[in-house]
Amino acid sequence: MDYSQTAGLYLKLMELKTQSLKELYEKDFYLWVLENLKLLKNREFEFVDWENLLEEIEDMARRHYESVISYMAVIMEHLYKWENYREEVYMGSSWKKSILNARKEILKLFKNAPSLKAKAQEKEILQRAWEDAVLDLIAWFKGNEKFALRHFGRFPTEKDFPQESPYTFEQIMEYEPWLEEIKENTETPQP
Amino acid sequence: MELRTQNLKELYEKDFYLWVMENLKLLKNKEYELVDWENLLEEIEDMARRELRSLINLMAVVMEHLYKWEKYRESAYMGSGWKKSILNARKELMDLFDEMPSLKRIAQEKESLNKAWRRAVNSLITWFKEEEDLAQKYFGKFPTEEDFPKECPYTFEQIMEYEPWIEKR
Repeated sequence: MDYSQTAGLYLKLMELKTQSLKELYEKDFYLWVLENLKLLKNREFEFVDWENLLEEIEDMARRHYESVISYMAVIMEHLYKWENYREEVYMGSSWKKSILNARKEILKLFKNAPSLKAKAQEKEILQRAWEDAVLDLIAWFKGNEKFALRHFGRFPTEKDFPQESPYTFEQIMEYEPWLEEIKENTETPQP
Repeated sequence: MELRTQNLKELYEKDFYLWVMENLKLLKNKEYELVDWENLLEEIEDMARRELRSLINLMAVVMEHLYKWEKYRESAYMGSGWKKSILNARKELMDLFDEMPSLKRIAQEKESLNKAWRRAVNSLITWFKEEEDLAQKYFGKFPTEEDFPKECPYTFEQIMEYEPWIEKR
């Protein structure tokens, strides 16, 4: 076999190896991780299934900001409830708890990854969180027929809520509607 | 170059999100020598480890509840929650094996079975902490690790198939 044949065969083998690794991704994720890990440790970079591996690595980052989004959605949902559907003073203590807890979790995530804070302020991220919050609000009304009837005369849909996020990042992290109320109640009329 | 890798290593502690994005950029550009391999390989290994952990957890759930059913079921109305836990964990195990057939082999290794059993024993100990009457009745005290078999009393087949509720009838 001359050199070009050998090289050709080598290339073919390489292709096969990468191909079967790609198939392994679908068939056996655990084994796929271990195989790629072995290749990386041996610095056999040409055999690695980069397509799927880069995707998986990106997922590590994505998981982090997906958590931020879901906590922001929790906060928005409950701020919105507090502002619009709180009917009695004894209502909302669990909403307040949800807001405070989600804020605490977001702060923890920011501590591990300060760059997420910039990411969280992107309009797209706020919007995604708000859309999730609206879905949660719709589901909440499904379980509270009386409220739905009182406020909408039926079960609300997406169209019954603002299309754009009504909250800024600062409000999500700091706004405490319950303090406003305390202020209102304790404010004495100015002479 | 060394400095850059050093910085990247520090970034791993300071800002995980940014660290991932930076490494991703380097890998996409095939600048392999700049990648923080030490932490990246660890993270990739974690992907596999996480799957292994779910496997052990699910097997432990099955073992814990099989053991409860066999030893501590005192009346016909007890155990419906245990049965549900067993069936549910088995379904999840089957999903896991479907996605990752290689885990099925690992599940049958003695080491895996014993690891899961130790976890099941810990759950049993915690359970008895909340069931003081049962703890008194069976052990005269709160049980510890020594009150349970040291080796896993179940085979892989039993974990996947044994249905004590059928045999009792």
